[in-house]
Amino acid sequence: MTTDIAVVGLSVEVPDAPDQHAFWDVVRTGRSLTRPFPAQRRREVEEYLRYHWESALVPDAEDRVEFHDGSFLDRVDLFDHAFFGMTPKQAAVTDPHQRLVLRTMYRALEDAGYTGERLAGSRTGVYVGYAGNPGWSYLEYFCRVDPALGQLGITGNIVTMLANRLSYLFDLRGPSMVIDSACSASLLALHQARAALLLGDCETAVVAGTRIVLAPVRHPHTRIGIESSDGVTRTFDEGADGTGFGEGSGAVVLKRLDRALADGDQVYAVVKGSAVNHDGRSEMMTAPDAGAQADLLESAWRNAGVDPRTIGYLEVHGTATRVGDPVEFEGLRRAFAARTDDRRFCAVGTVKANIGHLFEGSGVMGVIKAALALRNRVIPPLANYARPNSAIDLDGGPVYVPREARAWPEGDGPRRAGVSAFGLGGTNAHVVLEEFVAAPEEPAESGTDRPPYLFTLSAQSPASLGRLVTRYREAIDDGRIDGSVRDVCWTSNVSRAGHRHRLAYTVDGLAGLRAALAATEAGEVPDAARTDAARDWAGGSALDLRAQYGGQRPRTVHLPPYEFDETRAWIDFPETWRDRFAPAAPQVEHPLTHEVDFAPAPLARDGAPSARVLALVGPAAADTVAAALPPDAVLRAPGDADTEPDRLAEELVDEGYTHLVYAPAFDEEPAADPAELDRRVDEHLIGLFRLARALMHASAGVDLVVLTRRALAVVPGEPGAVPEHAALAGLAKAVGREYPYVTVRLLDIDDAVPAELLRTEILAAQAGVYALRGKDKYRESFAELPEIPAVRDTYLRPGGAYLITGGLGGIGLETARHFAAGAPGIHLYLLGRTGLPPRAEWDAIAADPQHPAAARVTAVRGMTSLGATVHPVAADVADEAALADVLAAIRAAHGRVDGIVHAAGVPGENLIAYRDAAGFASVLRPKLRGAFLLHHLTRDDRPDFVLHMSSVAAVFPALGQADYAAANLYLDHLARTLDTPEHRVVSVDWVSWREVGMAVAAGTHEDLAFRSLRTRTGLDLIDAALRGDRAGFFAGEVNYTSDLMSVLPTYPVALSPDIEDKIEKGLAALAERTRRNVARVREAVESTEVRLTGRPDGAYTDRERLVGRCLAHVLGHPTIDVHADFRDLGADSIMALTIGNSISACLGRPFDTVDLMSERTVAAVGRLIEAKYDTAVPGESEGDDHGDDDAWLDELLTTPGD
Amino acid sequence: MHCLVFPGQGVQRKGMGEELFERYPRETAAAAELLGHSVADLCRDDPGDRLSDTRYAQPAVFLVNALAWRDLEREGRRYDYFAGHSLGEFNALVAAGVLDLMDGLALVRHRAELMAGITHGAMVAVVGPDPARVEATLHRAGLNLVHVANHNSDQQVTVAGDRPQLALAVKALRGQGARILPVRVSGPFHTPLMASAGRAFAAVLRGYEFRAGHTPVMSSVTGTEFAPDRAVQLLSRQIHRPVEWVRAVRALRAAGVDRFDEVNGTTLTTFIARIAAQPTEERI
Repeated sequence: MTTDIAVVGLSVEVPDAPDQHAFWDVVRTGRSLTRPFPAQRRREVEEYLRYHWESALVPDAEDRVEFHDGSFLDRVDLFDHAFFGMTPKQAAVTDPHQRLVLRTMYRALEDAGYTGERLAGSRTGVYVGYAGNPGWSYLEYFCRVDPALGQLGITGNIVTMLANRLSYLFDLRGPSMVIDSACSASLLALHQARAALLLGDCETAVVAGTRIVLAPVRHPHTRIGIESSDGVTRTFDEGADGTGFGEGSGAVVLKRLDRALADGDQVYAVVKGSAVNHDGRSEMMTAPDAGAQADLLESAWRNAGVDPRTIGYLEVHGTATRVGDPVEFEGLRRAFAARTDDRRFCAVGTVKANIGHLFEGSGVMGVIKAALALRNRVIPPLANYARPNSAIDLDGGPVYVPREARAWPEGDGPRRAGVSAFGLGGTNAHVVLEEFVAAPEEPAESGTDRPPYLFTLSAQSPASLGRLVTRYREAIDDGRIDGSVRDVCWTSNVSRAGHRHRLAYTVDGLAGLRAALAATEAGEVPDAARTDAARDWAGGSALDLRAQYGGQRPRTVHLPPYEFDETRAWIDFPETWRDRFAPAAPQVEHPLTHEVDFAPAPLARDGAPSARVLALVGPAAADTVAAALPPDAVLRAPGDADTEPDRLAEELVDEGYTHLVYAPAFDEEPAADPAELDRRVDEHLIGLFRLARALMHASAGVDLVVLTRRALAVVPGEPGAVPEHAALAGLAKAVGREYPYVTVRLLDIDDAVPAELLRTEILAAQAGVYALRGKDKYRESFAELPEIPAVRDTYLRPGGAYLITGGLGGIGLETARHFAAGAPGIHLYLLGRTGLPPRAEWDAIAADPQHPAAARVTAVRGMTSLGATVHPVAADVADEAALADVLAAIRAAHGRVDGIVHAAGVPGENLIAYRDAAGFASVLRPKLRGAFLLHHLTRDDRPDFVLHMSSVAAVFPALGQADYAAANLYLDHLARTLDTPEHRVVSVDWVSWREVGMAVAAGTHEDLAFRSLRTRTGLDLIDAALRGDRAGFFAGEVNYTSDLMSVLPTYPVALSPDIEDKIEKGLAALAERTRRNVARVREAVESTEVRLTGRPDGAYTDRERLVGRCLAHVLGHPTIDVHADFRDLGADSIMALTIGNSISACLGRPFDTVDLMSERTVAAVGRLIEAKYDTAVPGESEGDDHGDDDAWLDELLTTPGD
Repeated sequence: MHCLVFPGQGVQRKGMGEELFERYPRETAAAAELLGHSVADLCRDDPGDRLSDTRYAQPAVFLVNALAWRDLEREGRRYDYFAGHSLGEFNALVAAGVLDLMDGLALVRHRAELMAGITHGAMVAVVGPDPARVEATLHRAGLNLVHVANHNSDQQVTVAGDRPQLALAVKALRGQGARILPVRVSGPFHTPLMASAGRAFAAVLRGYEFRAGHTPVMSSVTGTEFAPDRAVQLLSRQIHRPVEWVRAVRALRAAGVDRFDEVNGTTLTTFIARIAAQPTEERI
């Protein structure tokens, strides 16, 4: 089986040379395309570069923008968006590389005779050599102009789309990829494509490369080190000082030679073999290596099965650097020397000297040059070659440098060429090509050639078609169409016939075709050629064009490439950038910590006079409560038959009660033992949970008043507190959050509260947590706490013993590690329900990152290396016996427990309405019961400190956290009750930690109303907590830059005036930003020009013009038919949202995108706006109103593009 | 086994049911008498955009669903299960013989009135993140007036609630990479904010008879078979509880259903195609 691969089509585009003929002319004549950076492109990027430099953190001293000379395309902003199925706006946010290479790849496929149906569904592979290199990118550029464009520009700027978009557009089913190996990439792409063809991964392959230099700035910091000083590439010349920038793109189409011949394809040249290798660990990563290059050539020759003595031309890499050229020469000298002693038989050259260096795209350009040289049988000269490089001994070597084009003499066998490309990172590629010599045509075949035939030409636009006619006529005049009229017609039928705008002629020779083309150009009718068949086909009839060839086997021939109908596709950099991009106001620092306290509050003035009260009152509270309730209040004792929660809730609703008072918990003393704690939790706390759930299920709308006696420590150290009842306050707050139809208040009283005062407070419509002490009233409050003064330097004892519950969890481990680093030789008892695997397994576990315990084992080992002794313990903190054992073991080993961190806990996870009592209790257990046990069992140890890891939920409970809120509020008040200078008990209300912990596990560790905490910050705050003398604080910074801060005032917690003020200002700043965004959208839409079409009288309504402008703004169309379906104009659902937002901005009121999707044309949406939006609430148009609807609108507008 | 599913509010569109109204003039006329307006005219002309008004939309969708089922019934199609999404559950109950068509329509009319009475709400579809993560994000953001309202598929939930909070929710969810699309309903349907409508509807439901039925119906509230003796509770809760469509579909599959047909569009079968056989991820 042959491994020959045919080059069956190609296309190339470089400055001044838009097609292969012009390109070959540049090569053959040895011209160099180096020129200054074109003026228009210069203007387009200059302002942006200025902006870029001025906005840098360290302003650049350079204030002049200077550009390299190079082989630059005049324009890179043009594109035929409609041809490639894009809207003008999409095209404008597509990387120019992608646009350029798409164009070239399409033309190469067309040149091979494969477009449309002949291509769709075929196993055609696409291989593009390309890299998104550091520096200036188009995506970055236009996102700076308008960040909202980023979304629209995604597919236009992902590198792999360079290949994938072609596959998508033309339904190509073979492999599709972008290959990066730096400057050898597109040659490597060819090697890969060849392998894929031989393996059968695809039947046809397109190989392409491209390069555009968006801003070839001459700047000391951006030098790669190979740039030529004047942009001219002088390979092998004494004056060589580097390579010039080159721009353009090239593509070749490959097929297996046997298949190509069977399919009648044209063959430019044959790929005989190829090889790829890497320098390995050579002298320097970025320096070439002669040995590796020699090996490469040898491998390629062997792969191709050719004798190197038969190679007549070598297209070298030739970057024209002082180092690179001699190394490359040495490499090929060695490779040839191994096979032949002959001298100066092989010409060398490089297309870089003509067109500059296209980096990743350079390899395929060399292949195109070599293929054209073989096809034309001409050895082209090396451009810019005047004096031989004195470091190279050309005379003694196998190669010579041609200074002018000369005929390539015939040898014993076919003419052969090699092409090299070397990547900066050391990946080298070499390809061996051979001329294609067609077998003489079989006489029988030519005998059946019976003209005339139908010549067909088509285009996606009339303008394209007109230009194509001229190109074909010129091609005939210049003798560039080579082939019989049959083959020309066949090629035109199979690869030029698929577009919308068509013309056709019946012709019997090229002269006839020329006459028909010329007549069409002149606007005349070429009568002779306009047969019925021609008219029918051009009129859109489906004719089987292949039928006219009968049993013949026509061949594909080279014809002029498609003429794209291009318009500007570019995002302009605003000249007014200096005004628009004014530097933002300096950031204000906000405190990281807050205090949660009880602030004096005014007494309620009057309660609800017509209240109907039902009270559930425990025996201890009966007298106090009865005295304070209205005389007609109904009192019941919890546990009675008529207090079953669901029945009670139904009764409340049915009997029209307005207030439910819940006062079961009036205990005098804190629970003395775990059993008593359990009883109280079960009766009081879970009792309230059941009651609340029943209220929700019954859809009851009442005031729920929870009365407690000395449950809260109004000030730390307040005597006589019963902190387990504080948990009721956490639950009460959560009930109010989860069920907005009940107003919930907790009133915590002492025995000195007058009955009359208490009645007023019970009946007054107020939500939140209050404490009444005598005639004074306090309310839970939240205020800034700028600092926590340290009263001691350290809180850890060298060699001390510390217990951390939840110590094997994320935050527990971080805390333990922090302790290990904080004092020498400490012992850490890390308690977790599952513990750690046995030590003997640790080596294996640590080596397996997939092992669930790997991170924990590694962390524990880290502590050990800090000098700590770590004791992982598997025990449940809420299990009294297990915890007692642990404490006993610590005492036995160290005499004392020196400190405790209570970090155990499980998150709350469901709304009260959907939660059962067992689930509720399971969240209370580790936190609440665990804390009780820790203090109860160490009451004689009196550790230096007990740190409670409490939560933001204690203050601002989220939905689903009723149980968690209750437990954490207990931790806070337990600390306020027990804290003393000798035995610190500190409770810290943590917001989410950003890197570890529950919030990370739940995926909610981003900044919300509070900024999440970095681990480092959290650990600093632990230090502050234990060095200071506060019984607790709230650890978290309000996120004053997020709308979510607006949830804080909706909690029934008194925010300090300064916080309220900051929130108000922050929200005003966000509103202002939104207003500016809306104004900007409106301004941009209003300045969008669009011509409406579709109505003969040209009369369009204002609303139609508005919708048309919004559409044009998003899609970029210069003209829009008012009856065209949006989807046919290229809008998808994401764009529809953006269009809807634009319409909203212009209307000044929310426009429902659903309406856009259902109406679908400018005319229909215009009508709908008049009917639905303009009539609903007239006059309400400007953005001053911030009602519900505007908030909704604002939200959608502030994040456009989603 | 085969299951027929009925969609709910949101599938209404102008032109809906045109041929069905012609084919079933008796039912169409009876419905017009009960409702006081012609659903056929409403669907044909959509005067004043009434089809986007819950009061009109729900009876219209119900009637078109029901007539489409009549077609299938006439063809002799038999199903092993019925299920419906929200409003569509009433169609499932009618198909299963639990309710009469006209009783169903009367109930739907009441339901629509009650639901339309709760305004100032909105709904969005959230596409992308795991549903559990959507809920966690809403909660941790401190929002209490927005809730997950429909569990439609593994990749889509709807979130409904109070408009200002929903705007905040959209922001927080976008931070998680979600795509947000507006859904055209008038209130915070299927959230606790609808509790009063649910309660009022329970009173209405008590006046109706729910028969045992001849075919099981999978409840979209509980994901278990609909128990007619618990109809009042199930159908009133349906208004203020999330639509557990994913759970219902899994339960149907577990019961052996391997083919789902749908009337009046393909909304639900599209969801069903995006519900994996097993939950891919447990709650954290």
